[in-house]
Amino acid sequence: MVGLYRALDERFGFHEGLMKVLKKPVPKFINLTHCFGGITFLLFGVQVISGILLAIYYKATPDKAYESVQYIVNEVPMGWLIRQVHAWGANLMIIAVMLHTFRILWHRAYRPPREFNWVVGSFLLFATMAFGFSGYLLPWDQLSYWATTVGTEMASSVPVIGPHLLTFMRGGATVDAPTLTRFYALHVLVLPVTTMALLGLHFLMVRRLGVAKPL
Amino acid sequence: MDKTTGGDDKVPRRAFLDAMIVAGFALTVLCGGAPALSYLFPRLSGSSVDEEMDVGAEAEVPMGEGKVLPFGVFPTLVLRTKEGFKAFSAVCTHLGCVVKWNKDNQKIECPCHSAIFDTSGKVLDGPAPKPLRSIKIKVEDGRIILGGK
Repeated sequence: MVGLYRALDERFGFHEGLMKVLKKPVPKFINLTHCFGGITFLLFGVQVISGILLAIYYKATPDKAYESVQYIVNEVPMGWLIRQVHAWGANLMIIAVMLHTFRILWHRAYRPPREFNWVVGSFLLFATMAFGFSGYLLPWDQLSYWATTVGTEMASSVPVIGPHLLTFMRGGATVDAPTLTRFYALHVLVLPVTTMALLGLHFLMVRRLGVAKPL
Repeated sequence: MDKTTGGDDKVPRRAFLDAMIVAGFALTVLCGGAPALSYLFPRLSGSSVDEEMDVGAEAEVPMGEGKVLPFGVFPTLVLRTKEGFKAFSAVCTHLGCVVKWNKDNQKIECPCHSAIFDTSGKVLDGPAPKPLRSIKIKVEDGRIILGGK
């Protein structure tokens, strides 16, 4: 391993740059509240891995979705664990991202020159909530079905575009097979790619500007 | 005394802490990785031919017909001939395709590479190296029971 690393470094010369990134000292004023963002990222990693595992057995069709989730929980070895890790990870991620947002607000870390990172962070917050909302439908049980019916119904009360928004979200008049497939596509394709891109920007900006000094 | 080396100790303090961090990380990955790995290998139900299994009604396979019925993890070809019911593993001994009953010439055929077997599972033609594996079959109260010791 060490030999391979040395051989690669000899050819591509990344060791020095990598060490500079990894060994960058953090300011003295860092405390526990500065960990919420990192905790959110850690949970995102947990969600990605457990989510990929769930996608291996999950079937996004109305007649198979519920059945496949029951199969994961009852038949697949450790399936109950993977599903619960994903469900708990989702809830904890919402909590962590909220705490992170509150810390930024409390420290007023959104002020110049960090406004753009606040904007990117807001989009990440929306993405996290969209993850939660779309993932909630996937078990396709009574709770998820009616929660999505109510949730999408709320969107229809937006003036003028409301009804169109409702049709766009449901892919039809009611929550049905098209809703399930578009929520699944959103949950496992659109949101992960978007979130990873935004996270890249988020981290790049925080490295460039540094952590905001507390008040 | 030099704080980073821990004085006379053979292993410097920093190297020891680095190793502990790596070990902790490895342990965490292992604890998460082991269940994740076992998750990828689902249990196979009905993986023994020694267990009897009701695979359907007698009427599902009329005289002179043959049908592939799922028998646990083994797709099984059930034939109804003049000599009675017969059952063979429907997995071709050549490259594992599922064989079919050809009613017209009363032979078992593999759709992949045209291996042909007779009604006793013996190879008549084609690339199959071995006869089809015979599986125990009995009919009780109009139900087809496969397997058993």
